Amino acid sequence: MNSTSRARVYRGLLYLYPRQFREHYRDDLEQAITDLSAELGRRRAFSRVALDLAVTVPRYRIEALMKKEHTATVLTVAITAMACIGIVSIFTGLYPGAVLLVLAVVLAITKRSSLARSIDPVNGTRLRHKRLMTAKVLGVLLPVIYLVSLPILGDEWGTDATVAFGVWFLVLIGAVVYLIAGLTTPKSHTA
Amino acid sequence: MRPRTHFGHLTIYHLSIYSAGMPRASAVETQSFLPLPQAQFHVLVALTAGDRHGYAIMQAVEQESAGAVRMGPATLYGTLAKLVKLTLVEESDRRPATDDDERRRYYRLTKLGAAVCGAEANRLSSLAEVARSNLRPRLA
Repeated sequence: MNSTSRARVYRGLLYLYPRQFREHYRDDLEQAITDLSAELGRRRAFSRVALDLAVTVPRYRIEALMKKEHTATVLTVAITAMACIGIVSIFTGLYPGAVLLVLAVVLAITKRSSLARSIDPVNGTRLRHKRLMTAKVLGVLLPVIYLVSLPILGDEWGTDATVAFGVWFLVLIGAVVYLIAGLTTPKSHTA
Repeated sequence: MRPRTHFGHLTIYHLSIYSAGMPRASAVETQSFLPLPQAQFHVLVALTAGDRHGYAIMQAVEQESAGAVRMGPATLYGTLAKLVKLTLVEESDRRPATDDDERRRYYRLTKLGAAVCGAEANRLSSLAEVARSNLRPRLA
């Protein structure tokens, strides 16, 4: 790979960084790789940059996710995911997985104020509508998944049936979660 | 003559606890930044020598740590972004090298940054002194 293609690859890899960081420092990062190549040679420069990428991309991504405005979203996703995995594990006989369900409940209770703040009262009606609409779509998907998976379900319970049941069950959980979230979202009060 | 106030037999002299050369950042404000992460301290130390652009900071960090700390470009700019956000470092309009690429961004220490860097250096120095004094009997 020559230096131009390496530089092009590096420019492409910069898209892995969060947008704000990438837009502010793109020129500086490109300049730094040029300087490093001139000083250390292309091979050593790119190996140092590759290591740097591997370390910093996940770190900056997590930092961007954990920003105040994203915290509630991350929390909601984490709680829902843990609850779903916990419930699925109970139904599939992996009882230690139920700990996740307990953790989800504990997290939801302890972080209730953060979750409550995430509901923007200005857009309450819109958010409520969006959540209820998602619940409806997922509700419609339930019989569709069932009908689609009917031909693959035989007399014996196999891997295909487990996968189909898993998908159906996750959609069911999603529909219930969105229905509850939608119903508990307060409507905006317009003056 | 130092300003003073009299309360009967008692005379109170008004003394400033800051010396003229000290950066004007309160001790409480400075202490709230400590301990500094290693990368941030290295960047602040590199900037104590004057305004520098990103790549020059990378080189300075490597030289000043005798090659022990080698920062990658993204690590450096991520650290700089945090320091700028904490107002310990700011972008500088002054360009020390006239023949330099115009696209290069230069950075400099703020007064708060200088105070925090000094406080961290003192903290590490005290810690090093404790380590040296405790280890002296073992290493003797």
